[in-house]
Amino acid sequence: MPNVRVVGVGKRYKDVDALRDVSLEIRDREYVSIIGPSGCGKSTLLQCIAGIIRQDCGQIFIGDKEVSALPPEDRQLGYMFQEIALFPHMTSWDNIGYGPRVRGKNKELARQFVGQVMELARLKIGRHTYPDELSGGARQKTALARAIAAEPQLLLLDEPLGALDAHVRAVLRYELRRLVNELGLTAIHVTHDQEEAMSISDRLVIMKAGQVIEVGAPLELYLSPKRLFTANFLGETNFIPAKVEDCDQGHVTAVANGWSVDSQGAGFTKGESVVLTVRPESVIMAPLRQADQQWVGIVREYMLLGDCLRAEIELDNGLRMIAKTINQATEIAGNVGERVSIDFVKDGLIAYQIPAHGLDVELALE
Amino acid sequence: MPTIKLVDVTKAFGRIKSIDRVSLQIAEGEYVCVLGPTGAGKTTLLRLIAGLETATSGRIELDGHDVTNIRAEDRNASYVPQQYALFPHMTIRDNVAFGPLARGFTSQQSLETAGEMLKLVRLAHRATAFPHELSGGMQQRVALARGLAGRSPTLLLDEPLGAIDARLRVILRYELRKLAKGLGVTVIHVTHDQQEAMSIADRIAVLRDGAIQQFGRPSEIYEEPKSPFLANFVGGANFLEGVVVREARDATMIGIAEGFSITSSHNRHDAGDFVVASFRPEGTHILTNASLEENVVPGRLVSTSFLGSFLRCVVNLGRVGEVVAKVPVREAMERKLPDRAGELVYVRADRNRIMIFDRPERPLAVELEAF
Repeated sequence: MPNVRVVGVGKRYKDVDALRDVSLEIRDREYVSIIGPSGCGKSTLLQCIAGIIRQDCGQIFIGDKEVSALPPEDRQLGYMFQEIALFPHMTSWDNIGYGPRVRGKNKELARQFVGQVMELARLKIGRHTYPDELSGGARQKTALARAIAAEPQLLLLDEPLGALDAHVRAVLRYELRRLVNELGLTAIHVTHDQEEAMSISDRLVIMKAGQVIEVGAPLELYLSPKRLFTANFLGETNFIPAKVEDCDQGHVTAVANGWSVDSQGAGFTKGESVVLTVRPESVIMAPLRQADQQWVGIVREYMLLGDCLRAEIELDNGLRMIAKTINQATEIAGNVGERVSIDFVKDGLIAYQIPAHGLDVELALE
Repeated sequence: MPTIKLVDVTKAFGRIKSIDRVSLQIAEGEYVCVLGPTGAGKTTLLRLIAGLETATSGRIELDGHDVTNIRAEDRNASYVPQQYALFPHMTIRDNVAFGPLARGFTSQQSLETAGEMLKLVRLAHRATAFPHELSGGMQQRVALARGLAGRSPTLLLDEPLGAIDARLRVILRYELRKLAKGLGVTVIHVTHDQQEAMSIADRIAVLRDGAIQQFGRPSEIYEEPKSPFLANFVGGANFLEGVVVREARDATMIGIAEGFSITSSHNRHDAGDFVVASFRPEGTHILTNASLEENVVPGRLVSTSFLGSFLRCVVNLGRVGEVVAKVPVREAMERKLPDRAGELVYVRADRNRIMIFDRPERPLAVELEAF
């Protein structure tokens, strides 16, 4: 059974640590995405698991068998790169059939098998079509079909949708996930696109500067990340500097630029400086009422993002806040230039210690 | 006076028309995104305006002057290609100063301009670095700074955020808009990312097969797309084919399948018309109990996936096909929506959010295709 275990893996290039003491466990039939900004080491880690590059230290196990020193072809895995390497002089059918044929199936069996794989991949292309005659999406599916035609139990995907338009990407990711499910494979998927990762993965591995920062289910990491970096990387977040007034039973009362606010949090002391996070969709805008004294401000900008409307609000205490509401094409709380009040959904705010290396370094994406 | 004007511009490569009779007018200081799938002709359109391609027919005007046959370097427009090439042996500052230097400014003036532009793209602290020492995203910003340093009133940007990671891309698109508005430049920005276009542009021109499908404000294109393709490409939508069975002043009833019809508050069609009814995923509601409200259809949950602020639910409505609903995540959690495949749910769409299109000439699947 292809569970994957990475134990204390390190890799150094000249004076840069590409991977530092990375440990990871991936369960059988799990779909795991490794995400992080460019240069975080996610592709290097995948290539170590694939056996394409050799780690300097640490061990790798696939299905309880140590493969640390084995060449890629002895690791029983399928691998798909961002730069699709289809053979340009072969038809797409022959490209897909390349694996099984070399593994000893006769011609007729191989052809049947390719047909089955194409059906699974919902790929409809003519028998005499060459890769350069296909659309980007069909080429990507062909490459995927070739990877699964080798009948691997473990599928390693490095930005498998990277070369595609945003629109096509968003469609194909669900196809990819369905296919992996139907075949009962274990998959490790590397991407820089957090929405792609969240939408199709059982768990996410968040990396930064060669290290694993956090591992967890998408919803859990999105709603209550342990690290501020994770909060920012998984989607737009408001960060509010504040001072703790009171902390009791998982609740923190804090003051941000003179205004008080409640949040989740534990282990803080009175007077301690903290950062509060709140997702834009947890900020609720309302028309200003006379009684409102705090958490009021002026709408500076609206932006229709499609499924939601994004507002930028300049609060009277100097903070800027982003609020997002679902696009219902109904009335808004206030026009640009008008005053509004804001509130937060229950448990929408979380208090964090200020990172020792500073907030900017913690949040940095490059 | 429009700063950029295209009149019936066509560009043919052999027998293929990469740009097919495009007319456009862009006002001074406007930020326009040209949005479309790969192969739509976006880059060709930009290169025609830049003067790097010559139109087969039609006229191009910049600042009121006919520039159709004017060379690129005399057009007073700055073009930043997708494959920007920074000089590898020069520092970032020298790379950016190259533009003004080539335009005849003194080296001191050029370096000053370079410094300012690097500050604008937030790379002042890396001025003395070499290109290979920077990330792809940083290099792309250097290319942008180089384009800005030429001080042209018109900026032509081909996928200016293309090499940048998804998350950083979202941050930089807001900065790019602020930057352009602060400098007062007119911008044409080519992208395949509909959300990027929606959030950055004053107006969007959607291009397909070399022709403009719609040109308007983001809200116009999103709320009133002119075709199923536009609804699907910009934001995504559910589509149900049917026939108008009854039509009144304030509503249209569309028969979708036996015993199933939906009602829209739009009424531009007559009884008997073949149409496509369409509604956005975020305007599609999931109910856990049957309801006597209109436009409620039972179905089976196929899958749910988590998108961040939304939960995406796919529901199978039997013969009618599948529809997608986007539910705000907090709402989904509070209402404890079902998440197991196969569970019975009810789907509802508001009548005033159901768009109606003429049934396209080609099959719907082909009409929607953006591959």
